[in-house]
Amino acid sequence: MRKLALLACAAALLPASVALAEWKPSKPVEFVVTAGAGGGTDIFARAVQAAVQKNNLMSQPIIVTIKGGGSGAEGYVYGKSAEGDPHKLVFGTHNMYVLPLAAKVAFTHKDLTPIAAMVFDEFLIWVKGDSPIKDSKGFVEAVKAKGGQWKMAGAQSKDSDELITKLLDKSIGAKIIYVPFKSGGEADVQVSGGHLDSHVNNPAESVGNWKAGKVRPLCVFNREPLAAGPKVTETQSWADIPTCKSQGIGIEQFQQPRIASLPGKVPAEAVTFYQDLLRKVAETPEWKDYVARTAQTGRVLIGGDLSKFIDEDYARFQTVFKEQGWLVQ
Amino acid sequence: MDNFNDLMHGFQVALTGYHIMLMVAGVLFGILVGVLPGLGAPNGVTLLIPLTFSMDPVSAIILLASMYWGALFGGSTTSILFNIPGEPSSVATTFDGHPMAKQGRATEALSYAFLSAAFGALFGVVVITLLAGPAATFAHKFSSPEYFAVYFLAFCCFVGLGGASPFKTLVSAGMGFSLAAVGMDTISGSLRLTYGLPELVKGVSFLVAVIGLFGIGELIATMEDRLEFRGVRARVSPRDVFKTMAALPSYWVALIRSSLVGCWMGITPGGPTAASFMSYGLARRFSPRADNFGKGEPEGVISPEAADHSAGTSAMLPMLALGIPGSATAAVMMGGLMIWGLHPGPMLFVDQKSFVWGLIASMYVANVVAVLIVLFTVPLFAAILRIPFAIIAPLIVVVCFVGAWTVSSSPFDLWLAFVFGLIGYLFKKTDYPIAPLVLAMVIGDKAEDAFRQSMIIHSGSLGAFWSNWLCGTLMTLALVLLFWPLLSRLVPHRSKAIAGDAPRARE
Amino acid sequence: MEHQDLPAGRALVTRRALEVIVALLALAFGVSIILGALEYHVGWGERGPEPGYFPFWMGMIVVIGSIGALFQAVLSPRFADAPTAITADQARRITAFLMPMLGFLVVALLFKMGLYVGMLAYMLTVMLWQGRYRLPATLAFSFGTVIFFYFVFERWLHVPLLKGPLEAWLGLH
Repeated sequence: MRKLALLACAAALLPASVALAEWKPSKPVEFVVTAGAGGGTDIFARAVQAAVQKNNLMSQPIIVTIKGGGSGAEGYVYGKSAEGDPHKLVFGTHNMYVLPLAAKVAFTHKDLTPIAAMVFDEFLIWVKGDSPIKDSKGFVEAVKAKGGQWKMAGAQSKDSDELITKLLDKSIGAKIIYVPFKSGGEADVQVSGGHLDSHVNNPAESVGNWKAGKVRPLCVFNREPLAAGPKVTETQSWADIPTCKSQGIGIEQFQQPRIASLPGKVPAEAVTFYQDLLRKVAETPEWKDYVARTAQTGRVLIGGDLSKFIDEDYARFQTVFKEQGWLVQ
Repeated sequence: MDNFNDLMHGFQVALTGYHIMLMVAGVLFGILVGVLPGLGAPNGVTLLIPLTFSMDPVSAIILLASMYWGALFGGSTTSILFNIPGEPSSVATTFDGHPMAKQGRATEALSYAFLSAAFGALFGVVVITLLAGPAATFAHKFSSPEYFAVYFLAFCCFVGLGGASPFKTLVSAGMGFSLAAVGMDTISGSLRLTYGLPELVKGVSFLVAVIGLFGIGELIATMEDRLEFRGVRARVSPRDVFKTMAALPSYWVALIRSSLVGCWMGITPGGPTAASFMSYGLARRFSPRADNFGKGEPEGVISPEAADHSAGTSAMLPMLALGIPGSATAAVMMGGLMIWGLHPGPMLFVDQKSFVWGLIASMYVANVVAVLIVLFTVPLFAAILRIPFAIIAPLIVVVCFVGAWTVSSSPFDLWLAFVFGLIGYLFKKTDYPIAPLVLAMVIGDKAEDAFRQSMIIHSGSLGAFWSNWLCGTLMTLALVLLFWPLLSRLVPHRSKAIAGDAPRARE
Repeated sequence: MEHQDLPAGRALVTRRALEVIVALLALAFGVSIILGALEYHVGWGERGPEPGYFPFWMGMIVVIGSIGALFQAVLSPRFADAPTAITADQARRITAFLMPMLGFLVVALLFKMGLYVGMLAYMLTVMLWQGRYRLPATLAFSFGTVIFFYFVFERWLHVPLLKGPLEAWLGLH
C-alpha cells in the first residue's frame, strides 16, 4: 500500500519536472550529514558541495552541518522535523531505512523525500597484509579451521558490516565472531595491527593501508569486478580483485547506496530543482574524480528508479533482520 | 638524519609568504572559535573545509592545523577568565586558572597558560619529528584491551580513593558514566537510557554539560554574593607577562612531565581532554605544593595546558601515519585529507613527503606565531574583566546559551545547559566534586566500548587486560595510582588527602 | 530591589538540609538510570557485559553514593552546627538572576521566537531591571549585542542560530 503510494507519488513528479516553472533556493541550503565528521557520508556531502561550488550550479551558499548522533538518527530526525522546508538536504546511506528496523528511533524513511542515490559504495573482504591467506578459498578454509574463533572487525552494530558477517556465516557454515567498532577506520587498524582476523571495509576506508601492504583485499561483494583504474599497489588495481561470488562465496552483491533526501512534504518544484542539480553534479569532473578516487560505483538513481530500489532494498534488509531477530520489538 | 633533511625540506615548503599568511589567518580564526564555548576546533575545521577546495593540500592542512592551534590557545582564555572552558580540553585549566583570575592574577594565569601550552606544543612537534617512524608502529600495538587500559589509567590518575567524601566522588563519577551511556550503544546497536525522548538519541553532549556545570554554575555562585566578580580587578601590565616568562623555567618538572603525558595520550590515542585531566591529577599528586591546588596554583595551570597542547600536536602523527585520529579535531582533518585526495596511512610518509613535512614544519612556525599573537591579546582579554558585571554577566549567559545551541542545533540542549547550571551550583555548595563527572563523560563511552570489545575478543575473560606486557603494565600502574593514597599512608609521614576534585579549604 | 527588610545572614536553607536535598536528588537520578537500564539485559553474557550492564551498575553506584552521602548528612556532626548554606538574601539574588534566564529560554524556545529575540528580551530586562542602566544605553548595548551575534554567526561563520517569525518577517535568514 505504502509502496504503491510512493510509486504513484514519484510517477506524478516525473512529468512535473517538465511543466513546472523554476524554483530556486531563496536562502542558504543546509547539507545535513547523518554520520560523524570525516566519515564516508561527510565526504559524500562535501564532494557534492565542492562540485556545486566549483561549477556555480547554485547561487545560494551551502552550509554543511554534522548530525551523526545515534548512528545518524539525529540527522534523520532533524530532517523529519524540518517538514516542508526545501532548504535542507539530508545526506545518508541505507541507514535511512535500515536504522528504524533495529532501533527505536523517531523516524521512518517515509518521513523524508529521497531525491537521488548518487553512488554505491562497495564492500570487500580484507585480511592482514602478511597473512598467508591469498584468496577467498583460503579465507573459507581458515575460518573453518578456527572453529568458531575467527574474529571479524566492523563498523557499528546491526548494520552492513555485521549483516555481511552473518551472511558469510551462513554461506561458509562456520561461526564468525563479530566485533563492532565506531568506524571502518578503527576496524582497519585492528586488522592491520594483527589484533583481529579480517574486516569488510569499503575501499576508501582501507586504501591507505593497502598501498602500504598492511592489509590485502580478497574479493568484492559485487556481480562484476570494480571499474578499471590506475594501479593502487605495484601490481594491482581495484579491477584486479575478483568478485566473491566467482570465488564460491554465496553473496552475490552487497552495496551501500549514498542517498540525498529532502524533508517530507516539500513542493514538487523544489524536488525537481534538486533532482536536476544532483544530475548536473554527477556530470562534473570533480564528482567523477571523487567516485574514482574512492573506488565506488557511480550510478545515479532518481524518481521511480530510486523508490523501486529503496523498496526492494528495504524488503531485503527486513527479511534478514527478521531471521537474525534484530527487528525492534 | 633523514628526518632532519626532510624537516628542512618541510621548512622550505612552509616558510613562504602565502603560508605564513594562512597561519596567521588560521590562528586568528582559531582563537575566535576557541573562545566561543560550544563552538570548538572540530567545528572550526568543518567551517574552513569548503575554503580549502581550491587550495593545494599542503596549504589546506596548514590553514586547518593553524586554526587548531589557535583554538587550543583561545579555549584557555575563557576558562581562566570566566570559568567557562572554550574547548573541552581546557576544562582542567579552570581548576586553578579561574581562582588565579579571581585573585586578580588574570594576566599571570593567562601568560602561564599560553607559555606552557606553547612549550607543550613544541615538545609534541619535536617528538613527532624524531619519532615519526617508531611512534607510529607503537600505536599499532594497541587493540581494545590496551585502549581500555589507557582510559582506565587516565581515570585513575585523576580520581584516587581517600578523599574527604568518597560517597560524593562516587555519585559524581557514576552520574558522568551514566550520562555517557545515553544514546546509541556501539556494541549492540540499541538505544539506551533515552526514555522515549528523541532528543536523547544523540546522547548527552559533554560540551553542553560543561557549559552548564562550569559557566552557568559559576555565574549562579557568583550572583549569590554580589553583582561582581569576587576580587577580579585585573591589573593589566605587560610587565606581568615578562615576569611570568622569567618564572616559567622553575616549573620545568611539571612542564616536562605534562608534555610527556600529552605525547603519550596523543599517540596512544587517548585524546587531549583526557591528557589534560591526567596531567593535572599527576601534578596534584606529586607536586610539593599539592595543598595549594584548586586555590590558584600556577602549576595547576601549567600542567593541563602543556599536556593539552602536546597531545593536540602529537595526535597528528597517528592520524597521518595510521589513519587513527587522536582527537576529534584530527578526525575531521582526516576527512579533509580524503577530500583533497590523500589517503592517510604509512605510505603518506613516502608518497607525500612535501605534504607531511610541510605540515610538521608549519607546526613549529604556526605555534610560535600563535603564542606571539595570544600573548599580545593577554592585556586585551584581561581588560574584559573591567567591564561592569551587570553587563558582562548577561553577556556570558547569552554566550553560554548560544554555545549550547551551536553544539548540535537542538533546543533541548539549552534546557539541559540550564539544568546542568543548577546542578553545578548545588554541587559547589555541597562540596560534590564536579571533575570526576566531566572526566567520566569524556571517557565513559569509549572506555565501555573498549571494555566490551575486549570481552568479545577474549570470550568474556577479564584476563584480557593482563594478556600482554603492555596492557598488563598499564592496568597495574592504573591500580597503583588509584590506591596511591592508601599505599602512601603505609609509608609514614607522606599522607595527603586527595579528593576527586581540586581540594578546597575546609572548615 | 528591597534588600533591607531581612537581615542578610538569616538562614533560608541550612547546610544539612541542602546536603539532604542534593543526596535525594542524586538518589532519584540513580534510580531512574537503573530503571532505564532494565530495558535491556543487565547481566554478564557469554561474550561479556550485556547492553544494560554498565548503565545498571553506574546507576547502582550513584544510588550507593547518594545513600552514603545521605547518612553522612544526617549523622555527621560536621553538619550539625555547620553554617548556613543559603541565606534568604542570597536566595533572592539567585532567583533574580535565574528568572530572566528562564525567561530567555521560554521566549526563545517555548514561544518559538528564536535565540535573537530571546537574547534581546533578556539583555533589556537584565540591564534595565538589575543593572539600572538608562534606557538609551540599554537599547544601544542590547541591540548592538544582537547585531554582533547575527553577523558573527549567520554571516561570517555560517552557523545558523534558531530563528523565529520576526526574522522571517524581516526577511533575514
